[in-house]
Amino acid sequence: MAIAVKTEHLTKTFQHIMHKEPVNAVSDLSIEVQEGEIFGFLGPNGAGKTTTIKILLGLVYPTSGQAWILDKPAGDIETKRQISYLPETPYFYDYMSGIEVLDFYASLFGIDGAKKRSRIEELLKIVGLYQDRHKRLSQYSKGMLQRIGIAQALVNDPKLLILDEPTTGLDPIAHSEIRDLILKLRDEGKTVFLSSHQLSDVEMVCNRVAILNRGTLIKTGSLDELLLAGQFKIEAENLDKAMIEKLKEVSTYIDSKSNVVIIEVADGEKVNAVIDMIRPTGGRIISILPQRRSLEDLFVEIIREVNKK
Amino acid sequence: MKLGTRITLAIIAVMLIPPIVGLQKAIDPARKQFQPGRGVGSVMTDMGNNPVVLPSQFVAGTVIGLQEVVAGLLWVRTDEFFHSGNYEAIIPMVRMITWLDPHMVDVYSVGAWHLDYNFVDSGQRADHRYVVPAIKFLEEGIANNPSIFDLYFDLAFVHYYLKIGNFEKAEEYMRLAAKHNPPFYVYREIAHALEKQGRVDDAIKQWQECIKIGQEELARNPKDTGAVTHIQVSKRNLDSTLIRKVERANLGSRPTDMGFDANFKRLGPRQFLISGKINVPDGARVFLTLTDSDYKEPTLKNFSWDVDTDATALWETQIHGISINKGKFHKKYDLSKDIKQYPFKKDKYTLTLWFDPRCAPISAQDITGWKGEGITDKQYLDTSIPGVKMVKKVITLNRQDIL
Amino acid sequence: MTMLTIAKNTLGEAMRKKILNIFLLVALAMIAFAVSFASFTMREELTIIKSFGLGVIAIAGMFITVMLGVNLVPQEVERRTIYTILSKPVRRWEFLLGKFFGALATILVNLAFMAVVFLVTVAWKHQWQPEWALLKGVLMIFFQLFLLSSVALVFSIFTTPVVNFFLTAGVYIVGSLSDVTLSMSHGADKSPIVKGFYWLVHYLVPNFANFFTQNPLIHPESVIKNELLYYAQNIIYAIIYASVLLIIAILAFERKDM
Ligand SMILES: Nc1ncnc2c1ncn2[C@@H]1O[C@H](COP(=O)(O)OP(=O)(O)O)[C@@H](O)[C@H]1O
Ligand SMILES: [Mg+2]
Repeated sequence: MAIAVKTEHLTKTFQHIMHKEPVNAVSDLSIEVQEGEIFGFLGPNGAGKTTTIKILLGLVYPTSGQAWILDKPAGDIETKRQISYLPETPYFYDYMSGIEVLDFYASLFGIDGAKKRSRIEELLKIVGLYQDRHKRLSQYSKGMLQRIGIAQALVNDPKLLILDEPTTGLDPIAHSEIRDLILKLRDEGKTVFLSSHQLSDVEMVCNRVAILNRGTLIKTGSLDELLLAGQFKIEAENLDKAMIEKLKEVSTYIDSKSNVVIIEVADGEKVNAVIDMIRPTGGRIISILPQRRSLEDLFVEIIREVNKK
Repeated sequence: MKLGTRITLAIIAVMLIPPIVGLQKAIDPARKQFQPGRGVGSVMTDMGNNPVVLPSQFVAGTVIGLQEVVAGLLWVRTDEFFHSGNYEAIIPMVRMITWLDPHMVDVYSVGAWHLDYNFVDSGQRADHRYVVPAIKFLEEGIANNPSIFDLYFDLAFVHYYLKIGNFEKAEEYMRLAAKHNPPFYVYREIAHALEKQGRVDDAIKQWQECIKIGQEELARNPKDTGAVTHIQVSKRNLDSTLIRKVERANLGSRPTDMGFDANFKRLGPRQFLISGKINVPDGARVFLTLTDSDYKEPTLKNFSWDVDTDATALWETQIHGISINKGKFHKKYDLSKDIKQYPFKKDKYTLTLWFDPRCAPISAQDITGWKGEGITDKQYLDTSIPGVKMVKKVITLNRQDIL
Repeated sequence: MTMLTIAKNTLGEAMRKKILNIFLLVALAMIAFAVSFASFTMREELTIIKSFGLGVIAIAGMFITVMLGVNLVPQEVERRTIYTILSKPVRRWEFLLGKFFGALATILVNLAFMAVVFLVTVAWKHQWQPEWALLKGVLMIFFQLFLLSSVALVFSIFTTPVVNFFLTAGVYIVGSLSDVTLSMSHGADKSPIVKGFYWLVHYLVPNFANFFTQNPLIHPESVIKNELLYYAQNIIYAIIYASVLLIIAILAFERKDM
């Protein structure tokens, strides 16, 4: 499969005049996004997500390293025909109506005439703004603005969509509407590069994620890999005190308050070890459950770990 | 954008700088004619002894191209000085205004008029010191507006003809006015200026010329009522001049005795009475000058905008003259209100009283002739001007005679 | 074509800006107000109205241009509309020139409004004889503002709108004082450093004074030599100078982080 987005050792340092210390917004970032993926780009505020996206679009020049989009260097003008971008809390000319804004963006792609008109109508229907198409944007709600933002991002029927925090500041209903839209895009076979600090969005829609903190990549992989990684919960009975002490050495967590002891271990090999330890002493294993962590937990865990260092 | 493209663009930008400098050098010399009154140099110089400093809001106005408006506003303010008779302040003001907008023709004519006619609210005064600045000012206006007739004629008629009584100069400037598409009356005034010089035959030729000009215009534009009137007036004047030429031909053989005399009587400090008698019809005027004995008439050659503030020069000629009523004339003078205009700082003063037939009205000239051919007087006949006869009495006064 | 789209959009937005409309209305009112100058003779009155009208058009045009120019690009960055535009197939220089020509069109429309009112006012005071020659003055003002807006555009890439406002206004004033700079760059009594400094200022700072050509317009009787040549030189001057400024703007904008 072709590669939609790729960065190699991407680094961006901002030298602000007022501050003495330069800010490393992105440092040594290498990621790859396959075509057709919904890629979650995660990190707390200030992690460098927006900066990375701006580099990909050619809005910001990297200090070092390289970036490609659809196999072309970032910022390539022809590639921009096949991609689209929804910025973080976007703003559009609010003196225009919905239909005028889309008309403006369609013109930037050189779409014209009847084709333009039908495309705009179609988009307004997709995002559910057809009724309000003649209203000025200054009268739109936040959710409506976000939907017009998505509509402008779809004007050129892009292969790759780059969405920067599309759900920030929206109410739960608008939130889920956006999520449904992204899923629909996935079904159409589009690649989506989705940046967020809100994990609930990503968890439900993304195939793969990268986690960024203070400009550095912490973890990247498929969601299953990341979330499953190493969490097994073993329930067992008839364990004596000495056994429990021994088990503490291999487990990450033990709950021995009741008869049924809960043992958590980090990976499959440790599960075998625990079984081997319990079986000979007459202990009984009730269940072994692979533990899929919530992304929230993983995220908090990782960030905490990194910050400790 | 590729690096190569960027470098090329940068090179083009650098290469365009010499043409910018070159164009500016070509534009600079031509700019003056599009923007008069913008040179800083001229504002500092030549402003007389009261240089005006432009208030800052006016300066701001001139910087952004509103100098004509600023000139207009200053002109309105100058009005105050006219009313207060502060002539020393008028010179720098009008010069400033015309520097800002050298095409404000009315400022030249009204400004010059205020200078040498010296009208103040209390009455008219005739301070001779401002005559030359007024002429100079108009000459400057003419130099700045050489292609319109207005200022030539203004200088000729209002100043040389009416005020000063220099009909040769008046004719000279009227002829210049005539070259710049003037109204009809300019041609007629040339004829009058010739009559005043006693050049009767030239005047007759000019009247004929006037009629010709009117008829030519009528041929071009049959509906021009102005031309019709002009032809009528010119014809009438031509007839009158032809008749007068005959009537006045023999005046010299039977001259009239003017019986002229004039006296000075002090009434109080700077107050005096002039009285006398002369044998000419009503409407004619006796002229008077009362100046420092060492007063030198300023000339255009050694000219300065700074008038001599110590000099006294009361100069009552032409319309300022004392009118004659049934062979007698008298006028009271009170100069105590105008100490600045008439300072009387010297010890000796010369009072001259005379009658000049060239400046007299037609009824008087029917007796005296154009140049005084018909005049005689036992005591005061004066023939110092070749070809002209007039009567003149000179009285020398001390300072205490006046103060 | 994208340039045209952006230019049209810029014009459309600018014409809706209240502040610019206010300047325009004030200017229109002031031109009409000039009619009330009464204490002059006919000729003087016409002179004052023409001078005042051209002056007001120049000043109002100057303010409109500066207000427009300093915000032209920074505003797009500030409200982040530039991101959506530049992520579309729009080259940075296309965007920049699109904005610039949009601003220029705005200036032209504003000048046209004012010129119409001005011409009608003058014609009304002059027995309804239209004085088309006055349009030459407006044309020169337009090219002056063309140059001025490219100055504002260059500064807007390096500075904030407020700083830019004072910079551009400063350049305008210095460039309007070219009689001072010219006379200071000559003369035997001045030091070479002073003369050199004023030489640079006179020839390298955009010379806005060049474009004031009111004399022959206000006083139609004045005799002008090579009038057409002068206008042509000025227009070429404006175009060449603006080209240099636009190249600088394009190059700086090209490498700027948004
Ligand atoms: N133009 C800029 N100048 C200086 N610092 C910047 C600039 N843009 C971003 N930064 C800094 O870079 C870091 C990353 O910012 P950003 O990419 O916006 O993070 P995120 O989008 O993940 O919240 C932050 O510390 C931010 O303050
Ligand atoms: Mg961000």
